[in-house]
Amino acid sequence: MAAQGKVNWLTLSVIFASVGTVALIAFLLTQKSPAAASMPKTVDYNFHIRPILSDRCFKCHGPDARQRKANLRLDTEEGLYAALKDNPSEHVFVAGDPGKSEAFRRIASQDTSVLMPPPSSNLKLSQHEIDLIEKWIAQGAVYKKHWAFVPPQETTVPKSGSDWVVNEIDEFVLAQLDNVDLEPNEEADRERLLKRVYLDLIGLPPTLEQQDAFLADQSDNAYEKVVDALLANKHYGEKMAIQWLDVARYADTHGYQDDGLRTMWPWRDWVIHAFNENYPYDKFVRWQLAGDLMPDPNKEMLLATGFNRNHKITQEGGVIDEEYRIEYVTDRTNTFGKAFLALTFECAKCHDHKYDPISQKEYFSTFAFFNQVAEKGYQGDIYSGTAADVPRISIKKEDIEGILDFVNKKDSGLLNVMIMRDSNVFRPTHLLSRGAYDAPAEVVPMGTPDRILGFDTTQFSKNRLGLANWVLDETNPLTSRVFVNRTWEQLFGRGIVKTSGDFGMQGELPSHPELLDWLAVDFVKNGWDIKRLIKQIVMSGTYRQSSVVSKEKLARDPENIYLSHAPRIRLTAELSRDLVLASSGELTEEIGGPSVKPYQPKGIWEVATSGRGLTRYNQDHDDKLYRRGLYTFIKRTVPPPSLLVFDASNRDQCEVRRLRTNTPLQALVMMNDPQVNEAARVLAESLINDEDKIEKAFRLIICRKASNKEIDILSKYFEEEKKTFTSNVADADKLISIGEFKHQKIEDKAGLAAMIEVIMTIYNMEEAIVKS
Amino acid sequence: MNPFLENKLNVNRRHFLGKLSLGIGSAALGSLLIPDLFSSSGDDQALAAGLPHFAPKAKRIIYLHQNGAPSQLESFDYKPLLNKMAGQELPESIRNGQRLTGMTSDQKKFPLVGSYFKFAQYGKSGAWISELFPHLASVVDDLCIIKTLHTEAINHDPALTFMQTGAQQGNRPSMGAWLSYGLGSDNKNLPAFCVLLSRGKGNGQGVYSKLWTNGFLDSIHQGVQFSSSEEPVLYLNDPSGITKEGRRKMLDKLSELNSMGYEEFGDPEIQTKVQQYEMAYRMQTSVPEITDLSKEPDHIIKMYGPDCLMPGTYAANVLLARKLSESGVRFVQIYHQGWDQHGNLVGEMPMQARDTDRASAALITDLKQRGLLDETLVVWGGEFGRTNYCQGDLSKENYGRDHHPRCYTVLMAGGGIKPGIVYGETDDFGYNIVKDPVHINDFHATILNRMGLDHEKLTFKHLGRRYRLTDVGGKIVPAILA
Amino acid sequence: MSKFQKVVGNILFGLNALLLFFLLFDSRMEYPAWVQSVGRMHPLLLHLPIGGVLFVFVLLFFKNKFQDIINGVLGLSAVLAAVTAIMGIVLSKEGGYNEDTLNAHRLSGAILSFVLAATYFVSTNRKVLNITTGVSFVLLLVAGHYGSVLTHGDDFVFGPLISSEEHKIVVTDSTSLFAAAIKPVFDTKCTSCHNDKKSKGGLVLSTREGIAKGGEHKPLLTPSSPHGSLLMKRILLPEEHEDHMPPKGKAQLSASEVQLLFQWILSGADTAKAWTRYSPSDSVRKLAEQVIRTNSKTSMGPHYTFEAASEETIERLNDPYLTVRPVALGEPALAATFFIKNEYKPSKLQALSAINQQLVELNLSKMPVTDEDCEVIRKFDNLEKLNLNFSSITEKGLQTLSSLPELRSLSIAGTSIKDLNALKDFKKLKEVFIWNTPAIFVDGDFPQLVFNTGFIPDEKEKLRLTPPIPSSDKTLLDKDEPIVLTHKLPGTVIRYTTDGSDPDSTSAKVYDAPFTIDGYTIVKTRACKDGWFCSPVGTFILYTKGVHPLETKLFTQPNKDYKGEGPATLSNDKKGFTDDHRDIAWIGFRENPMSAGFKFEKGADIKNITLSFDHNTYGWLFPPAKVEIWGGTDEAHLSLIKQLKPEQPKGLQATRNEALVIPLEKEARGFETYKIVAWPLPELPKWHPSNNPKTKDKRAWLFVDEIIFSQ
Repeated sequence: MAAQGKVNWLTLSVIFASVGTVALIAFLLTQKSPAAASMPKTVDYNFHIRPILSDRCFKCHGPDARQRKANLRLDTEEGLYAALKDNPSEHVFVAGDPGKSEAFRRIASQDTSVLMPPPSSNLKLSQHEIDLIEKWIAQGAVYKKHWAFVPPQETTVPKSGSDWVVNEIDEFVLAQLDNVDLEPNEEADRERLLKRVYLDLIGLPPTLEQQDAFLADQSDNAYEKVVDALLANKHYGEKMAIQWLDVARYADTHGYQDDGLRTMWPWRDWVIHAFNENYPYDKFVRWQLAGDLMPDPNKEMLLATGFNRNHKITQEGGVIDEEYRIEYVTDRTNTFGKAFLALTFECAKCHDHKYDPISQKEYFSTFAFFNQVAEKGYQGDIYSGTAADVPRISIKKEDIEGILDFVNKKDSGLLNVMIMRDSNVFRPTHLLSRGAYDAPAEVVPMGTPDRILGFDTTQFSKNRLGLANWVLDETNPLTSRVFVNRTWEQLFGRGIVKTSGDFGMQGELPSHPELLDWLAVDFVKNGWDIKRLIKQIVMSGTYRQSSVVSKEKLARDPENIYLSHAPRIRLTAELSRDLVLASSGELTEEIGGPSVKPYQPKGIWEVATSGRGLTRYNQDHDDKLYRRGLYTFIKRTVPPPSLLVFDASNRDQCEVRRLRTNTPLQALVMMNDPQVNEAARVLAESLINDEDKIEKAFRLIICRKASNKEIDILSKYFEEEKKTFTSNVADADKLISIGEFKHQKIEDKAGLAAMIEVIMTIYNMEEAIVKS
Repeated sequence: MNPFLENKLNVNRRHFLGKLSLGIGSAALGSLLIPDLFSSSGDDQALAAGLPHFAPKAKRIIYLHQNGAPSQLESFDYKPLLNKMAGQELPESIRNGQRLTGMTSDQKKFPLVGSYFKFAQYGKSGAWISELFPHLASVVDDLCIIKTLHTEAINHDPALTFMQTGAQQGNRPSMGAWLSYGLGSDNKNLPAFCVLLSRGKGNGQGVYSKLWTNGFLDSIHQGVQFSSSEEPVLYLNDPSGITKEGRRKMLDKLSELNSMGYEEFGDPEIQTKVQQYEMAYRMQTSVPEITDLSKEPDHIIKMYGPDCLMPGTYAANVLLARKLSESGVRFVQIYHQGWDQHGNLVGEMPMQARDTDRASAALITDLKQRGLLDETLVVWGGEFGRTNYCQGDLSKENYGRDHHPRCYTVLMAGGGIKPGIVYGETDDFGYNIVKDPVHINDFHATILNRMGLDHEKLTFKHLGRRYRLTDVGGKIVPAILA
Repeated sequence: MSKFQKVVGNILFGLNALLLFFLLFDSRMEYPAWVQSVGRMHPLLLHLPIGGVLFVFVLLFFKNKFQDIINGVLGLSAVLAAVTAIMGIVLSKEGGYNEDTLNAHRLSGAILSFVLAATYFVSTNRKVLNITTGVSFVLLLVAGHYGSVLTHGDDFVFGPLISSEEHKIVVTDSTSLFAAAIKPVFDTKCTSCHNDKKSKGGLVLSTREGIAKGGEHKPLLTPSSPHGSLLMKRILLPEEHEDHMPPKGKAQLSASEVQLLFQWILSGADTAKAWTRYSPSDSVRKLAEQVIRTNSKTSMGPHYTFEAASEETIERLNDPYLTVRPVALGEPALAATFFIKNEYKPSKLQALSAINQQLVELNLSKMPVTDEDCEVIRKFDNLEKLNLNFSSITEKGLQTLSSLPELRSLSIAGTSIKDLNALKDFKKLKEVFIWNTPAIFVDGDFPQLVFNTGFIPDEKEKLRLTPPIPSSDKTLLDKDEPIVLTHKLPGTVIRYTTDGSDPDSTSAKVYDAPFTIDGYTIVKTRACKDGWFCSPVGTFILYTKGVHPLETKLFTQPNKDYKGEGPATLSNDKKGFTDDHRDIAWIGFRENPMSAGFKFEKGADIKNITLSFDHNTYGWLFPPAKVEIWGGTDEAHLSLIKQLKPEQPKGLQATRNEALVIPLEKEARGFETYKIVAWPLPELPKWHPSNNPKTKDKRAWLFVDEIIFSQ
């Protein structure tokens, strides 16, 4: 018992100690922590107040008229200062007087009977938020239009005079860092910088030669030379395409039930082509949205419109045609909203949007643009259905030799691709009550959300081309911001607006609003030049700084919102695969073509199939086994597991931002996927007789010279394993026989097996598939 | 609580606090440091804890989905009137504007047809069960038979998606993913949400991985496909030539190297990664022990039926499901294809029943005898019902039935559900519900409730909106709660 | 027959005549007010005849005794019954009753009266008397039941037996206070008289509408003014007062319920407002919460009062193989589960002592827990549920555990425990799981316990084993690749043949080690074990790889839909699946014969050629009608060296991947070039179901996936 007592005392004291330290840390941090914590000097409606109101109040007091309680709305200026319905002498907010502001009294109340939001809503405000609102009222309760709905203004670049600064981007970033009293990191070491920029621009690691060349090049513009080379590299288009394929929900099957084959890959080849040719973003968008409606469109412009046919198409017998046709148009409308405007259109289909100024009527006005396609909801079941439903184009030999020379078509067979074409007869669009296909209400005209940017029919034609021009109009507050932000996200792992898919009221606020606007304006001013934008960013000191993160920075800015260091980001599913194949020398560098079926655990398709359509996974062979990840065949109902495990999109819907998780299953894939093990074998075979085989392997995969300690560990490991395998040749035989890639005759089997294990270990190092 | 939840790479604030890992302290610290962390309603904390909102009745779920929609009229919803009126037209007053699938919409006549199979009453509740399900009939006193589930969807894909994710369209998280998100897994060496697939001899309709998708939740909540074959989990087995010791050694070298990386970069995710590899290794060692059938005594094999010795069969999967559930897996989802009898119902349904009846009943008995039934919720059912009229040619010996959304039967057992009752009534035509309808949202709400979760509180904010499994609906069904 | 009897007899006759009259013409009659009050004596009077009849019923058990008393009592009861019945009919005119129930009551009551009268007249004859009294006793019950339904509502008698789920409701934060707390009061205390079936005073309290509507003296509620509300007025009247509700004799409202209703009306009598939206300080909410606690089956599970353990302690205890977590958010109670046998250590169990107060559930299933460990477990004072399935504990350990004060559920399935006597000493134990133990007990030994003995296999039931399966699903094996047969059920004997014959369960070769085959082989297997029927025969058609030709050519065009991978299809080591003809492993011929050329190195010594095809009679896929083998130095110089007409199936057969093995004689072995020509069957056999006048094109198909050349 006494012993017990002691133990308890021990634990107690430990607890006290720890709590103490926490309190201390907390204290210290608040003294020096980012602006975030302390109450801002001036409370801004856009940045401090609306996010709260939107998240906690708009559901019942927002844009949605039908849901609006007590006829009170907080999303408009009028609404904020309005008198109460049942007591006109009282007002919602009274500038300068929190006590008189009914809304404030309600949210601050202790009495749950009057408290807002009501407990039953499962929503509540933190004390900090209440204080913010109080202070805002005290300061005059000034209303501002939602930042994202105000066209970006040219912002003046701060001048710091710091020599850390390379270009304008750094000025903005540095200014923010100063605000929160953080220092940027110095430039990353050359090897890491090289790997970073290679992975970001072409998605492949630098070869030994490329590494050596860069290390040797002492000229000041050595880095810039690399950047320019990469932007001109044919793999640049592939890297850029991956993200766009998510946005465009590209896949190789139709997606519902029997999930038959579709041939949209020529469209995918076009995307790669467009990026490689550096089509300006406006052209890129205009062609995809309305290539078919432009004056005498050529086949390439038609092919581009395939963007809007990438949605799922049903082949389930017995579906109701109209139900699914509406489903497709809905998908296009939602995709349009998310892809180009970063708005959650889908929330306005069944009722007015609860947070953003998109009424149900406006939803269907936009819907109307995509409602004209000469298509059917149900083209036929898996047997009568086709790989490309009408409207479609046939790609002929002369096209391949001519205007569509980028389409990687090998066989002579017929090749059809789905495209957009409006029917000759105008289809009036009804508002659908509850969004139900069989509940049409009044007819609505073509249009767009008015409070974001009205659709001026004197300026824009009433068809998709008009819509495309509306999107690209310089007064459109969203388009350029959205794309610039997404590009930024690609390179830094986190957008200036974190919610890159939602610029609405519920979205997060830009961490660097001025920078975002400056980039957006600059981007348009320079002719929507994508390569230029990317160069601008990767040249910046912000991008080039090292990714080392100090305890203090980690504690003060765990999400690295303020970019006091470069991010460390795990590669996407496709790029992880690419890194393995490229470093081992297996990679097939071919661009485009029909999607391929690499190794996949057996039985995955077979067990899920209805017995119709693509029932069996017929794995490919030879160089098709070693194509880049973006060419892996995506059967929507059974996406490739190894990619899915690494957070790849299942291409069910438009997706602008992937999650980034770290799971045991990923570890299993890296350790046991035959693709990785085979790569280790192939690389081992090519290095086994090399003096410094381990150093080379390490450099090929990690893209830097290994430290002595690292070499020690690995060489020791090699020797040990070699011993084990020498005493057990059977295992060695098994290990070295993995994979279909051509085997080289190696005498020293034990050595080879040991080397394979060493390389597998390097592949599984955290740093291997991480951009740091 | 559960590493599967904790060790996520995407460093979010909650995660960061998790690292500091001191509940009360962190709240204070957190709100000082990042004001808007705790502002967004209670659900975040609920997740952080990965705990039920209130004391649960059920800890785990085994969901036996009968994919393709077994006919309620040949199984658990006895309608003698249909036999009396066989061949006569379905009265318009009964159909009452129900939309039809393209498969029967152009059919001239809708002749009623009664069950070819005999029914008898069983158990305390005197429930009517057809001769196709003798084993389920023998455990009827443990079953709660709900005759009045109903849906809006009339086609498999949307109906299945609705049943599993609470929405007909859209890439929403499935029930299992929600539970993984809300509760995590008890066994830290196994995923919280496992999926098992099998196919019967009847007309199949396919299954789609979106049925066990994590949707907008972290992919950690994605259903992990298990199989009763030699590789129970994808990529679980070491490459041939690598021994357990070899693998262990490699992991040790790996953590040595990675810890060097941590010293250089100070990125906590590096440590997380090391933990992930350790967990993967533990999976490699523990899963085979769990999935090994050879330890099962003869009479257990007898109980589930010899089919359970054939990898990939329904019986084998149900037995595996019990073993996974017993080992703490929160949600085991089984899909068994082949229940889509548009025609040749008399030929196919007995085969489907033979493949599933014995094992389904065995599962309930087996859980019960281990004292696990009261904390394990078992569900058996399809995605919608089948029409009371014949699709295609009606003969004395054979007929078919089309999809019917207005009513279908689902069985529940254990996990705080009242045993030995029949809930809800359909009309004598087996076409409309006359008493106690249960919408899919209600069904989900009730299941979450048994798991200790308030379906209105289990939310996730995605692109500006807080999503729920029950979307905007869902009423708990009190009468079936034990 | 005494004078008394005569008189009584006449009275009886008169009364029953009157009763009959009332019964028939009741609907047409009007009563003066004074009669009404007479009618209201029905409930009072009815008890007398009941008593009487019961008394007689008892007396009848004494053979041939008390005849006089019986006569007297019978007469009196009969008279009273008639009077009561008449009064009842009068009373029924006041209305507010459910018609059907009322009629049933009226009728049964009347008949009872008649029968009693009859009984009185025959009372001298014991035999008849016994019967009629029996009958009237039954009638008594029937009438009584309907009466009770009228006054006390449905299931007044059996209600307690029928579970009261209807009153229970699930409360979430958004449930209205009305539904959560007020309605339950109405449901238990008021709706028996004020429901849609029976609405005394036209008032229905079972629905929101009814409450809003009020009754004859509407309105029922005046929001915010309890004293102004009829509901409270009636409730607050002294119980003696005739307008007091619930009426005297019915279940009365408890003080707190009165308070609750009062406060609810005071707060505005809102039927929609969620209970959480009332201020916690609000007394109506305070009162409501009490009701919710008692009624609700969810939200608020068990509430434990003991101290919570610190998070540090909990985190310290958790490890990959031991999970310790609270049973719910904000609950101090903890549940612990151990995983993976080899990772279990007694010390880990010992460590749980740190939470010996908080631990309510402990799952040690499959862990090697010993009796010593039970000494640790017994210290978990609040342990309610303990799972020791398949652990190593014995009677001794069981005895140790018996001191657990709170234990309710215990699982010891799969243990060696035989003697259960220790169970007697458990205080709160309710359920025990002893499946798969040698334990035996006699019913009644443990009255307070529920045992689950689990599934007992039916010894008579014999099931058929499944056939053994090869460990790999490869059908095209490397040379000398071993074939491994497995069966998941331990202890099965596997027998097999390689000559195509069915292995019988006694003489066929027993599989004891992996074996190899040479070329195309049909392996047949069968598994047997005592207590099971032997498995059906499993058939596996296997091939071994041969020499690869340097070059493969096709001289004829395959069908355009089934080109496979061109000529390569025939020698790419890819076998096709019989159910998937679109699989590129297959190459299909119908219009043309298959004519293929194969080139080998000099001196390639081909001993036989295996032509592997899809045998699918249902799908019109048949063996070739004719095959020719040509050999020579090159394409230009080939000579026919062999030709054969394979046997055709005589009827529909199971689909399978089959082969034709064509041995080459010495002189035919040395060639560098071989040509193989195979003709599809020109017409489906007569017996084929599809061979009927309706079918235009009757040509069969030839599907080949591989041609193997073995040395």
